[in-house]
Amino acid sequence: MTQHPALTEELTVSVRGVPGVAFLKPGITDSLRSILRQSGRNGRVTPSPAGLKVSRPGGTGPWVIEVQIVTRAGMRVLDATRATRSAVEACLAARFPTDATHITVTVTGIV
Amino acid sequence: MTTRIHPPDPTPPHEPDEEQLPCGRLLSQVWADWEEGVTDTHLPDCLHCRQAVEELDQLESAVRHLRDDVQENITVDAASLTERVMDVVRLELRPGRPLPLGEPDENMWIMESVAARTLRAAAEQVPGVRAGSCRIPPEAAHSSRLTVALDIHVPLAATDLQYLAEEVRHRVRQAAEELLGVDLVGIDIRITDLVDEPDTSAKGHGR
Repeated sequence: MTQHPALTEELTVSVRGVPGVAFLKPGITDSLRSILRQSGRNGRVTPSPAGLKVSRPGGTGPWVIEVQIVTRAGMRVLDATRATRSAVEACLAARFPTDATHITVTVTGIV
Repeated sequence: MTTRIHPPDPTPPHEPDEEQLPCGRLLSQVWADWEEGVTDTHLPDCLHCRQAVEELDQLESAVRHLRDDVQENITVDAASLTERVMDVVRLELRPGRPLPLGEPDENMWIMESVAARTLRAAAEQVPGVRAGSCRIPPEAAHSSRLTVALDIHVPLAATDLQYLAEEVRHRVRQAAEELLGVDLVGIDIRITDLVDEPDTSAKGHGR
Protein backbone atom coordinates (compact mmCIF):
# COMPACT_ATOMS: atom_id res chain seq x y z
CA MET A 1 0.00 0.00 0.00
CA THR A 2 1.50 3.32 -1.02
CA GLN A 3 2.31 6.00 1.52
CA HIS A 4 1.93 8.75 -1.07
CA PRO A 5 -1.53 8.17 -2.54
CA ALA A 6 -1.95 11.56 -4.21
CA LEU A 7 1.41 11.43 -5.98
CA THR A 8 0.88 7.77 -6.85
CA GLU A 9 -2.46 8.54 -8.42
CA GLU A 10 -1.03 11.48 -10.37
CA LEU A 11 1.87 9.39 -11.66
CA THR A 12 -0.46 6.53 -12.54
CA VAL A 13 -2.62 8.81 -14.68
CA SER A 14 0.46 10.34 -16.25
CA VAL A 15 2.09 7.03 -17.17
CA ARG A 16 -1.15 5.56 -18.48
CA GLY A 17 -1.40 8.51 -20.84
CA VAL A 18 1.99 7.95 -22.42
CA PRO A 19 1.74 6.90 -26.08
CA GLY A 20 2.99 3.36 -26.44
CA VAL A 21 2.17 2.34 -22.89
CA ALA A 22 -0.58 -0.25 -22.79
CA PHE A 23 -0.87 -0.36 -19.02
CA LEU A 24 1.05 -0.49 -15.80
CA LYS A 25 2.11 -3.98 -14.84
CA PRO A 26 -0.85 -5.54 -13.07
CA GLY A 27 0.10 -7.86 -10.25
CA ILE A 28 -1.82 -11.06 -10.50
CA THR A 29 -2.56 -10.85 -6.82
CA ASP A 30 -4.08 -7.45 -7.48
CA SER A 31 -6.12 -8.91 -10.29
CA LEU A 32 -7.44 -11.59 -8.00
CA ARG A 33 -8.12 -9.34 -5.08
CA SER A 34 -8.98 -6.00 -6.63
CA ILE A 35 -12.65 -6.43 -5.90
CA LEU A 36 -11.88 -6.86 -2.23
CA ARG A 37 -9.94 -3.64 -2.00
CA GLN A 38 -12.15 -0.79 -1.03
CA SER A 39 -10.72 2.65 -0.52
CA GLY A 40 -13.25 3.55 2.10
CA ARG A 41 -13.99 6.71 0.15
CA ASN A 42 -17.45 6.54 -1.38
CA GLY A 43 -17.04 2.81 -1.69
CA ARG A 44 -14.80 3.31 -4.70
CA VAL A 45 -12.43 0.51 -5.57
CA THR A 46 -8.90 1.86 -5.63
CA PRO A 47 -6.60 -0.08 -7.90
CA SER A 48 -3.17 -0.45 -6.42
CA PRO A 49 -1.04 -1.03 -9.50
CA ALA A 50 1.85 -3.37 -8.93
CA GLY A 51 3.63 -1.44 -11.66
CA LEU A 52 4.16 1.76 -9.72
CA LYS A 53 5.98 2.23 -6.45
CA VAL A 54 6.59 5.58 -4.83
CA SER A 55 8.78 6.00 -1.81
CA ARG A 56 10.99 8.54 -0.14
CA PRO A 57 13.39 6.82 2.23
CA GLY A 58 13.83 8.81 5.38
CA GLY A 59 11.21 11.32 4.33
CA THR A 60 13.81 13.81 3.12
CA GLY A 61 15.92 11.93 0.59
CA PRO A 62 15.27 11.69 -3.13
CA TRP A 63 11.94 10.45 -4.37
CA VAL A 64 12.35 6.86 -5.51
CA ILE A 65 9.94 5.98 -8.29
CA GLU A 66 9.84 2.47 -9.73
CA VAL A 67 7.65 2.04 -12.79
CA GLN A 68 6.88 -1.27 -14.50
CA ILE A 69 5.02 -1.02 -17.79
CA VAL A 70 3.58 -3.18 -20.54
CA THR A 71 4.07 -1.48 -23.90
CA ARG A 72 2.12 -1.65 -27.13
CA ALA A 73 3.65 -3.67 -29.96
CA GLY A 74 3.14 -0.84 -32.43
CA MET A 75 5.72 1.41 -30.82
CA ARG A 76 9.43 0.87 -30.28
CA VAL A 77 9.95 -0.25 -26.71
CA LEU A 78 12.83 2.13 -26.11
CA ASP A 79 10.75 5.14 -27.20
CA ALA A 80 7.79 4.19 -25.01
CA THR A 81 10.09 3.61 -22.06
CA ARG A 82 11.86 6.90 -22.55
CA ALA A 83 8.54 8.73 -22.86
CA THR A 84 7.41 7.11 -19.63
CA ARG A 85 10.51 8.28 -17.85
CA SER A 86 10.00 11.80 -19.20
CA ALA A 87 6.37 11.81 -18.07
CA VAL A 88 7.37 10.81 -14.54
CA GLU A 89 10.15 13.42 -14.50
CA ALA A 90 7.73 16.12 -15.64
CA CYS A 91 5.17 15.14 -13.03
CA LEU A 92 7.71 15.24 -10.22
CA ALA A 93 9.27 18.47 -11.45
CA ALA A 94 5.88 20.16 -11.38
CA ARG A 95 5.08 18.99 -7.85
CA PHE A 96 8.50 19.05 -6.25
CA PRO A 97 10.75 21.23 -8.40
CA THR A 98 13.65 21.24 -5.96
CA ASP A 99 13.56 17.61 -4.84
CA ALA A 100 15.97 15.02 -6.09
CA THR A 101 14.47 12.00 -7.83
CA HIS A 102 15.55 8.53 -8.71
CA ILE A 103 13.44 6.93 -11.42
CA THR A 104 13.56 3.36 -12.70
CA VAL A 105 11.43 2.19 -15.62
CA THR A 106 11.19 -1.51 -16.46
CA VAL A 107 9.30 -3.11 -19.35
CA THR A 108 7.64 -6.32 -18.21
CA GLY A 109 5.61 -7.09 -21.30
CA ILE A 110 4.59 -6.17 -24.83
CA VAL A 111 1.03 -6.57 -26.10
CA MET B 1 28.38 8.14 -18.12
CA THR B 2 29.01 4.46 -18.52
CA THR B 3 27.70 2.90 -15.37
CA ARG B 4 24.21 2.53 -14.09
CA ILE B 5 23.53 4.05 -10.78
CA HIS B 6 20.82 1.76 -9.55
CA PRO B 7 20.38 -1.50 -11.41
CA PRO B 8 17.57 -3.71 -10.23
CA ASP B 9 18.90 -6.53 -8.11
CA PRO B 10 18.78 -9.56 -10.42
CA THR B 11 18.64 -12.00 -7.55
CA PRO B 12 16.46 -10.56 -4.82
CA PRO B 13 15.50 -12.90 -2.01
CA HIS B 14 12.02 -12.59 -3.38
CA GLU B 15 10.41 -10.16 -5.77
CA PRO B 16 9.53 -6.95 -3.97
CA ASP B 17 6.14 -7.20 -5.62
CA GLU B 18 5.51 -10.55 -4.09
CA GLU B 19 2.72 -10.46 -1.63
CA GLN B 20 3.48 -11.57 1.86
CA LEU B 21 0.44 -12.84 3.68
CA PRO B 22 -0.28 -11.52 7.18
CA CYS B 23 0.88 -14.87 8.55
CA GLY B 24 4.35 -14.20 7.11
CA ARG B 25 4.28 -16.66 4.22
CA LEU B 26 4.81 -15.61 0.62
CA LEU B 27 1.71 -15.96 -1.52
CA SER B 28 3.75 -17.53 -4.33
CA GLN B 29 5.10 -20.18 -1.98
CA VAL B 30 1.63 -20.98 -0.66
CA TRP B 31 0.40 -21.42 -4.23
CA ALA B 32 3.41 -23.51 -5.24
CA ASP B 33 3.00 -25.78 -2.22
CA TRP B 34 -0.67 -26.23 -2.98
CA GLU B 35 -0.03 -27.11 -6.63
CA GLU B 36 2.70 -29.56 -5.68
CA GLY B 37 0.65 -31.17 -2.94
CA VAL B 38 2.99 -30.09 -0.16
CA THR B 39 1.09 -29.99 3.10
CA ASP B 40 2.00 -29.01 6.62
CA THR B 41 0.17 -28.23 9.81
CA HIS B 42 0.08 -24.49 9.12
CA LEU B 43 -2.25 -24.39 6.13
CA PRO B 44 -5.39 -25.94 7.62
CA ASP B 45 -5.23 -23.58 10.60
CA CYS B 46 -4.30 -20.38 8.76
CA LEU B 47 -7.17 -18.24 7.47
CA HIS B 48 -4.89 -16.24 5.18
CA CYS B 49 -3.30 -19.26 3.53
CA ARG B 50 -6.66 -20.96 3.07
CA GLN B 51 -8.10 -17.84 1.43
CA ALA B 52 -5.10 -17.63 -0.89
CA VAL B 53 -5.55 -21.25 -1.95
CA GLU B 54 -9.25 -20.70 -2.52
CA GLU B 55 -8.51 -17.77 -4.80
CA LEU B 56 -6.08 -19.87 -6.81
CA ASP B 57 -8.78 -22.52 -7.13
CA GLN B 58 -11.19 -19.86 -8.35
CA LEU B 59 -8.69 -18.73 -10.98
CA GLU B 60 -8.15 -22.29 -12.19
CA SER B 61 -11.89 -22.90 -12.30
CA ALA B 62 -12.39 -19.72 -14.31
CA VAL B 63 -9.73 -20.77 -16.81
CA ARG B 64 -11.21 -24.26 -17.11
CA HIS B 65 -14.68 -22.83 -17.57
CA LEU B 66 -13.46 -20.43 -20.22
CA ARG B 67 -11.67 -23.26 -21.98
CA ASP B 68 -14.79 -25.41 -21.92
CA ASP B 69 -16.86 -22.52 -23.27
CA VAL B 70 -14.42 -21.99 -26.08
CA GLN B 71 -14.48 -25.67 -26.96
CA GLU B 72 -18.23 -25.67 -27.09
CA ASN B 73 -18.89 -22.46 -28.92
CA ILE B 74 -16.09 -21.44 -31.23
CA THR B 75 -13.03 -22.97 -32.78
CA VAL B 76 -10.26 -21.20 -30.93
CA ASP B 77 -7.09 -22.92 -29.80
CA ALA B 78 -8.02 -23.49 -26.15
CA ALA B 79 -4.64 -25.01 -25.37
CA SER B 80 -3.02 -21.83 -26.60
CA LEU B 81 -5.30 -19.73 -24.39
CA THR B 82 -4.43 -21.78 -21.34
CA GLU B 83 -0.77 -21.57 -22.26
CA ARG B 84 -0.94 -17.81 -22.52
CA VAL B 85 -2.69 -17.51 -19.18
CA MET B 86 -0.04 -19.68 -17.58
CA ASP B 87 2.66 -17.59 -19.28
CA VAL B 88 1.28 -14.57 -17.50
CA VAL B 89 1.27 -16.40 -14.20
CA ARG B 90 4.82 -17.69 -14.68
CA LEU B 91 6.10 -14.27 -15.66
CA GLU B 92 4.42 -12.79 -12.63
CA LEU B 93 6.07 -15.17 -10.24
CA ARG B 94 9.39 -15.59 -12.04
CA PRO B 95 9.99 -12.49 -14.14
CA GLY B 96 13.62 -13.30 -14.94
CA ARG B 97 16.50 -10.91 -15.37
CA PRO B 98 16.34 -7.25 -16.38
CA LEU B 99 18.38 -6.11 -19.38
CA PRO B 100 19.50 -2.52 -19.84
CA LEU B 101 17.65 -0.22 -22.24
CA GLY B 102 18.89 3.12 -23.54
CA GLU B 103 21.77 5.00 -21.99
CA PRO B 104 23.21 3.81 -18.69
CA ASP B 105 22.16 6.91 -16.76
CA GLU B 106 18.56 6.59 -17.92
CA ASN B 107 18.00 3.60 -15.63
CA MET B 108 15.62 1.82 -17.97
CA TRP B 109 15.25 -1.94 -18.28
CA ILE B 110 13.44 -4.68 -20.16
CA MET B 111 12.91 -8.16 -18.80
CA GLU B 112 14.95 -10.76 -20.67
CA SER B 113 11.90 -12.96 -21.27
CA VAL B 114 10.08 -10.08 -22.97
CA ALA B 115 12.98 -9.24 -25.28
CA ALA B 116 13.59 -12.92 -26.02
CA ARG B 117 9.98 -13.41 -27.06
CA THR B 118 10.26 -10.61 -29.61
CA LEU B 119 13.53 -11.96 -31.01
CA ARG B 120 12.21 -15.52 -31.24
CA ALA B 121 9.20 -14.30 -33.17
CA ALA B 122 11.52 -12.43 -35.55
CA ALA B 123 13.60 -15.55 -36.15
CA GLU B 124 10.48 -17.55 -36.94
CA GLN B 125 9.62 -15.16 -39.75
CA VAL B 126 12.20 -17.03 -41.81
CA PRO B 127 10.23 -19.84 -43.48
CA GLY B 128 10.64 -23.21 -41.81
CA VAL B 129 12.62 -21.91 -38.85
CA ARG B 130 11.53 -22.58 -35.30
CA ALA B 131 13.21 -20.78 -32.46
CA GLY B 132 14.19 -22.49 -29.24
CA SER B 133 16.26 -21.20 -26.37
CA CYS B 134 17.06 -17.50 -26.54
CA ARG B 135 19.38 -16.03 -23.95
CA ILE B 136 20.59 -12.45 -23.82
CA PRO B 137 23.36 -12.09 -21.28
CA PRO B 138 24.99 -8.65 -21.08
CA GLU B 139 28.70 -8.69 -21.92
CA ALA B 140 29.54 -7.53 -18.44
CA ALA B 141 27.71 -6.53 -15.32
CA HIS B 142 25.65 -3.38 -15.86
CA SER B 143 26.75 -3.23 -19.49
CA SER B 144 24.39 -2.14 -22.25
CA ARG B 145 26.26 -4.29 -24.73
CA LEU B 146 24.09 -7.31 -25.37
CA THR B 147 24.74 -10.54 -27.20
CA VAL B 148 21.98 -12.95 -28.18
CA ALA B 149 22.44 -16.72 -28.10
CA LEU B 150 19.62 -18.25 -30.12
CA ASP B 151 18.94 -21.93 -30.85
CA ILE B 152 16.91 -22.77 -33.94
CA HIS B 153 15.47 -25.76 -35.76
CA VAL B 154 15.66 -25.57 -39.54
CA PRO B 155 14.15 -27.65 -42.37
CA LEU B 156 16.05 -30.77 -43.36
CA ALA B 157 15.59 -29.68 -46.95
CA ALA B 158 17.51 -26.45 -46.45
CA THR B 159 20.49 -26.49 -48.78
CA ASP B 160 22.48 -23.59 -47.42
CA LEU B 161 22.52 -23.51 -43.64
CA GLN B 162 24.95 -20.59 -43.54
CA TYR B 163 22.59 -18.50 -45.64
CA LEU B 164 19.64 -19.53 -43.48
CA ALA B 165 21.48 -18.57 -40.32
CA GLU B 166 22.37 -15.20 -41.85
CA GLU B 167 18.71 -14.65 -42.68
CA VAL B 168 17.75 -15.38 -39.08
CA ARG B 169 20.52 -13.13 -37.82
CA HIS B 170 19.28 -10.31 -40.05
CA ARG B 171 15.69 -10.67 -38.80
CA VAL B 172 16.77 -10.77 -35.19
CA ARG B 173 18.99 -7.70 -35.52
CA GLN B 174 16.24 -5.81 -37.32
CA ALA B 175 13.70 -6.66 -34.62
CA ALA B 176 16.11 -5.69 -31.87
CA GLU B 177 16.70 -2.29 -33.42
CA GLU B 178 13.25 -1.47 -34.78
CA LEU B 179 10.94 -3.10 -32.23
CA LEU B 180 12.97 -2.96 -29.04
CA GLY B 181 15.53 -0.20 -29.62
CA VAL B 182 18.42 -2.40 -28.54
CA ASP B 183 21.80 -2.54 -30.26
CA LEU B 184 23.16 -6.06 -30.27
CA VAL B 185 26.91 -6.50 -30.41
CA GLY B 186 26.59 -10.16 -31.32
CA ILE B 187 24.00 -12.69 -32.46
CA ASP B 188 25.09 -16.28 -32.01
CA ILE B 189 22.90 -18.67 -33.98
CA ARG B 190 23.09 -22.35 -33.16
CA ILE B 191 21.25 -24.85 -35.34
CA THR B 192 20.20 -27.56 -32.93
CA ASP B 193 18.07 -29.74 -35.19
CA LEU B 194 17.07 -30.43 -38.76
CA VAL B 195 13.39 -31.23 -39.07
CA ASP B 196 11.67 -33.13 -41.85
CA GLU B 197 8.91 -30.65 -42.42
CA PRO B 198 8.35 -27.16 -41.18
CA ASP B 199 6.14 -27.47 -38.14
CA THR B 200 3.73 -24.62 -38.52
CA SER B 201 1.51 -25.70 -35.64
CA ALA B 202 3.67 -24.06 -33.01
CA LYS B 203 4.93 -21.22 -35.16
CA GLY B 204 4.17 -17.75 -34.02
CA HIS B 205 4.15 -18.50 -30.33
CA GLY B 206 7.26 -16.43 -30.08
CA ARG B 207 8.19 -17.92 -26.78
